[in-house]
Amino acid sequence: MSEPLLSIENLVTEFRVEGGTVPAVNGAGYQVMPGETVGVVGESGSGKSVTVASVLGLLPSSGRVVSGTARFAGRDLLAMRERELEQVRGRDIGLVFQDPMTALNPVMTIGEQIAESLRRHASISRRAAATKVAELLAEVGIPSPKERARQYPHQFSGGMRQRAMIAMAMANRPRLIIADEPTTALDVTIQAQILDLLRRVQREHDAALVMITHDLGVIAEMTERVVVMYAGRVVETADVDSIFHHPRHPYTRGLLRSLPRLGERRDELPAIGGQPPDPRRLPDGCAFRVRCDLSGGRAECGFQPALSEVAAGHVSACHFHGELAEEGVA
Amino acid sequence: MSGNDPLLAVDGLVKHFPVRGGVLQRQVATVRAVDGVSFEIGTGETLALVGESGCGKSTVGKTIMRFHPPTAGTVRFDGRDLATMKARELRAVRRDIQFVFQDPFASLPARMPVGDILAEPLEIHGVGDRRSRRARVVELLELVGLGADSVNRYPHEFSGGQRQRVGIARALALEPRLLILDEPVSALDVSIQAQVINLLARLQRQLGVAYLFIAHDLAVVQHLAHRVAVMYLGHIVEYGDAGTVFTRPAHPYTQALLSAVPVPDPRLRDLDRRILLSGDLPSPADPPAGCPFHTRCWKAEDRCREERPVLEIRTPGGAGTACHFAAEAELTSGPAGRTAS
Repeated sequence: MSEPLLSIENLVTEFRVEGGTVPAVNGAGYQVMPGETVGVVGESGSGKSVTVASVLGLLPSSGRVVSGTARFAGRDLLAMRERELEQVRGRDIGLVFQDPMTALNPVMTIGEQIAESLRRHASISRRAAATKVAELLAEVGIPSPKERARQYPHQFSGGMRQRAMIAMAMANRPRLIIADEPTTALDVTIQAQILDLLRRVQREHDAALVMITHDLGVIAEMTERVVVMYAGRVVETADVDSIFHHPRHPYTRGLLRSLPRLGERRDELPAIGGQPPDPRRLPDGCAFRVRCDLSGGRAECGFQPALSEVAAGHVSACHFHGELAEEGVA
Repeated sequence: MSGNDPLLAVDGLVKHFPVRGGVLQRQVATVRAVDGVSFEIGTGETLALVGESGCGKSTVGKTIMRFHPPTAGTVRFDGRDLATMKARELRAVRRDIQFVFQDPFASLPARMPVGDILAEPLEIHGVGDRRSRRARVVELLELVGLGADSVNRYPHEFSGGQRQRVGIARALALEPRLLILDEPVSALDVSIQAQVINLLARLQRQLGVAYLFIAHDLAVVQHLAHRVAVMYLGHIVEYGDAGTVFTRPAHPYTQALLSAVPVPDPRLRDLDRRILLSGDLPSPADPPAGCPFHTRCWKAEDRCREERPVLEIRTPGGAGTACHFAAEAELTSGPAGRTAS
């Protein structure tokens, strides 16, 4: 068995706010194997984006990693200086964000930005970099790549900007791509193009992919293994088929049941009650218990459930996961 | 007025926006946001306007509300043309048509307690006295599933889903007959979307209010809509009852749009069913001649580049498709692996 490429354990991250701190990640962790596609799904406040920002040194100044470990290819990410992290980010780990406009420099041409990333991590000539830029843009499906390389981000459509960002993420042949809601801002026909592209570049580069999204459809179509987060913790992890057809955490099951699906119309969607967790006011014990239809107010739920293995490669943080064993979702 | 009259009848609606440029700020181009759109909504019914950004669906809603005046076309509410209405009449009609915005935070006044937010439309229209208004506010809160104790709380104290409930309650305050809902659940978390969808369905059953539901999420639309109009570049390209449009779409764009929706089931991860469109949406300031979709359509022939196909809506509730080569396709067995060239 090979070593995980990325391994995050017991991560705790908090943010400074007026009058104190707010926990954003409360002991989360997961692993990514080389070449594997892992989906991280959760709602706002689940900590899914803060987790990767924490381990990549991309937290805003109000954020702080309190404890935990994060290793990439055996190296301790949390012990690295900013310069080392910069190397890892641009070279070994390619990043694709929801809004390319915030990640791209508006006053530099697309070509200059990709070339800069190439030259920062490898000693190649200006001319060789320009050739490579055009190759990369062509690879991600940007027509007339040489001309488009001379344009600025605002001259690109949303879909084309996301393609350019993927080209930049792939420039140094990373071993891991982290895509944080990469298609959330895009229309559905453009989303289909970008997901197709991500799949293709990942396969061609043999890279691992972490896909962070709230969209269970994207998770089902793209990933092999799924990490479900709630209130700053991982509540369930399994292969994609088990998550969608044999979920063993009531939150996962509730999400799947509540989804409106094309091709079926129901009188009433079985919604999860209550509101998403407010990190400033998390309940004691299991954070989901106040919305849980399995708990029924049982005393055990007042204690934090540990992640336990419910089947091979399938873990759930629920005291009563056994009660879900015989049910499917549909 | 006959009982068969639609509640809302939009006919040939056009909304163009001038683009100005140069030192003289002369009009240099025209954005054809809505370019001749017709549909009807019956009492207590939901029509969904769907399409991607830039298709003009939101502009239709705002033009009906007269947030901006139409360039051409008529909007009839209850048989009366809103354009020729006198100010007093228009004011009365405004009670009957209300708007719910996507972002409940931006659309609610931050410094007003919820009780005042809900009472405001009643005060403006001189409905009731202070005491009856207060009772109505509590009734509205209960109607949307919020406790009466919400009266003294401020919008920032609520979560996104609860704020959208406040937005819906405010829109319902004057007992409108039509709600125009512009992406009402797309800013909400997945687990909250289902709550608000259920709420909207219940309110319609309970109050008989009609919805013009503007949205891009087709799974959500399918859940609420009786009829669907699919828009592309300012035109309706397909129209019909929701069951037909969603299961047997006849316009290539509708087929591509539906096939692009990721399916939340890994066992149906069948990439061949997807019709991958090439390229981006053309600019509505410079729309292609002929069929607006021909630049991305795998069926397009010369005729499509020259002649715009007309959408024919036969009877109210009847289906229509604006395509020279319309052909129904079963969704599940749609054109396999076809890529537009």
